[in-house]
Amino acid sequence: MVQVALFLVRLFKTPIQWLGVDYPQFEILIRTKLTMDFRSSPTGFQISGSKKSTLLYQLLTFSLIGLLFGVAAFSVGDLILSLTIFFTVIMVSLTMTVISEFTTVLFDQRDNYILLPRPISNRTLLLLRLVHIQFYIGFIALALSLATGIIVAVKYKGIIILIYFIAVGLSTWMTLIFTTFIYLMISKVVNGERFKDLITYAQIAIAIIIFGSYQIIPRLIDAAVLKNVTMSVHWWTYFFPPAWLAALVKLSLFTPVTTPFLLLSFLAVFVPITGAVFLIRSMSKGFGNILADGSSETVSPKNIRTLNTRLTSRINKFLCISEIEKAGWNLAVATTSRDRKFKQSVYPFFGIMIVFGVIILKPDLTNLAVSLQENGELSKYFFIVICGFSGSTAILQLPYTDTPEAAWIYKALPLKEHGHLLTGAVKAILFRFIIPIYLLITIPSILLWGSSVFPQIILSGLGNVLLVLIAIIFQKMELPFTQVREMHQKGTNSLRAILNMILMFLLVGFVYATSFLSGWITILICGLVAGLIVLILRFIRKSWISPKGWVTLRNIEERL
Amino acid sequence: MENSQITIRNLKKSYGKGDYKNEVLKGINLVIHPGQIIGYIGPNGAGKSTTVKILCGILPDFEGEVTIFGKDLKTESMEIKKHIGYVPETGALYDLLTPNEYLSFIGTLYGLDKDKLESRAGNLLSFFGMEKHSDQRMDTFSKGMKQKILIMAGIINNPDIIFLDEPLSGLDANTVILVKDLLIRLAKDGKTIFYCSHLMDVVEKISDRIILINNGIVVADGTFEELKTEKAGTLEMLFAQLTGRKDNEINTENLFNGSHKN
Repeated sequence: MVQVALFLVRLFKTPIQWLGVDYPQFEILIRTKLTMDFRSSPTGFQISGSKKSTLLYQLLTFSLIGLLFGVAAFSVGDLILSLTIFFTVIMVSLTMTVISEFTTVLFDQRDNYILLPRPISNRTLLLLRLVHIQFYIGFIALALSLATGIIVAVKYKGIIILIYFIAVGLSTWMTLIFTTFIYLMISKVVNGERFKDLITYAQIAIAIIIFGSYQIIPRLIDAAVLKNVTMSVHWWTYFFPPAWLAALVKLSLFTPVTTPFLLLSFLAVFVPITGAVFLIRSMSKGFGNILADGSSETVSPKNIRTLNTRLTSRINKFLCISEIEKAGWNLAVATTSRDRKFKQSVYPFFGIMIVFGVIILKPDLTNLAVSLQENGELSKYFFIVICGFSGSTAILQLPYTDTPEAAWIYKALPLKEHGHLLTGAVKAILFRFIIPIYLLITIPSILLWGSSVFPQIILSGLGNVLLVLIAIIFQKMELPFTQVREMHQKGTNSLRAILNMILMFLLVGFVYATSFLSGWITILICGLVAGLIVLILRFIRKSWISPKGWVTLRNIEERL
Repeated sequence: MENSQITIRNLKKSYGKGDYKNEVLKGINLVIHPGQIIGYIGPNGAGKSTTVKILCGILPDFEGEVTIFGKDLKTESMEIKKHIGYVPETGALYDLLTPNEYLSFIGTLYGLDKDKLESRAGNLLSFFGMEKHSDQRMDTFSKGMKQKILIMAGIINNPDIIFLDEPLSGLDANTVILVKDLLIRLAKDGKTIFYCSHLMDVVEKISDRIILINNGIVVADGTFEELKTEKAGTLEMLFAQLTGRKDNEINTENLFNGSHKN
């Protein structure tokens, strides 16, 4: 794996030097980084499988998802339109992955003390981070595009398959440098300390831009019948990267092409190259400053307001059954409200989900209220369910921390009820992230769609909680804040998010189905779901104590 | 080297903005000559590590003027970094690597060629008695063993100035002697040693010059002989006199059973 990556890197030796990067330094850096990623922790292979098999698992699952994408995209007759749709889906998925999983890698400051005192230029450092991330998202993109690649190869034959995979590579690179470019632009406007706070908003902004671009696709289609459509080139098509890539692939068929398509294919090659040159040569200084900023210890030590904690501690009396569960709650509240990396991984999803929800509702801005009222039943429930879904992403991030060594405390304390810590933390996150959302959407929803929708809102909330708890059991989630964020895990996290999303669609269907029943029956179902939630929480608490449970505290032991 | 010296003029550094602003260094002025061992001491939070991080280029954003080897640190940090070494306080190393891999990684970053690198890494490993561990992964190493590797990585480029932040922490008594001898040897070879420590007796014994900072300013600067007074005969006493709390009657009785007054 590492050798393959290094081989690819060596192919680009000369262009890398053009970028003003010190090539020998760059090669040893990327080699060391990848070697470390693939070196499993001492006892790791016994439990979670080797890192290679993690990648294999990701490859398989992403390929399956890619197959769905491919089949959907190629139900359209026109090759270039199919490819445009396909590349849009790929680039959107990758951008989501980059901003939610790899932003922390891009601005990782953990090895500042190792790298910054050495004579390494900012350009080398920036390219190192980009290529390191490219390796992982390239892998995901490859898996996602495999099925479509086979469809293309069988259908059109010739060198198109080669050009197709080059286009996939270009799509990941464009995604990566575009995201980085936005971050660095923002860092030019605001200084380092504020940048770290703003980065979350930047993530949300990028998410909105990308998701908004989905809206373009329907407008690219000229005819009503999908089988016979062709793509039309408008002026703004030139600003739509998936169209460039599609044009590039089409070019390899050697069929007569029009000037607009030649121009689009040219952009597909030109933009990634000049983008990289510009980014590395002109913006790496800003990148260096962001990194260096993390070496500063602290701002002036200031007492943190604990009012908020007092409020939640009053509430956790009702929601937690033991003192240890309360301790887990308090730990989760305090940590998640201050840990930047947690926020960076979670908050963008709120943005994405809200945008997604709004897109589903398809509001007509000229006549907002009426258009929302007349909305289809299904999209209404879609909206209600999806709003709460972001909470489950937050739960998935719960075990991760930068200081896993602090978990020695779970070993050192005379404590048996570790499960209570986990459920306490889970409850806190649910309370912080799901309940406020539902409070927020309940009133407008009832105003718009009438009070009959109320049982469904409750059911959506409870259903979301249930999904999260099921995910926790299947993942055998570790104790809060005990795991390192590891590179090879990043893909798995995105994958889990996608799988959870599929479960969410089932939930939407279920909620929709209950809307045909009388409200009282829905309330009754809510009661059942609530009961199930209580039982599952009990199960999690118990299975952490029993020897057969998934409690191992294994990684903690390794780190002591 | 003749020009191996550091000039610091009115060095200031603050973290944060507005209400959160915390001025850590409030105007440090120092001139350091080659071949000296400088003991840089001060209470916790005085700004020792910050000074060192600025000097070795980890914190590029500071106020004031710093020149090393006659070069401006703000504009020519790449050139300067080639000739300095740094041993960090936090055990920052890639511990999934072996010592051999790590040292060759760091050496390559300095542009050392393979042969020179191999012989130097071998010498360093045997000097610290670590040859038999040279191909073992460092995540199983004790704190002291990791500290030895950090010191090796800090001097593998044969630097003219070596910055060390708490180099002796976690080391056993034998290794402390070894490192002390090493530092003295390096200084005799004309290298400048600039180190932070809390071990007053070590600082007292091996430093050619002691710089004491408190609250971001230099409060004492000179050889131990120059600094000691009748009242303060050891560095420890001097330290307490210049930086200690006034209310030294510590009452441990109330620690566990007294009522908490605020």
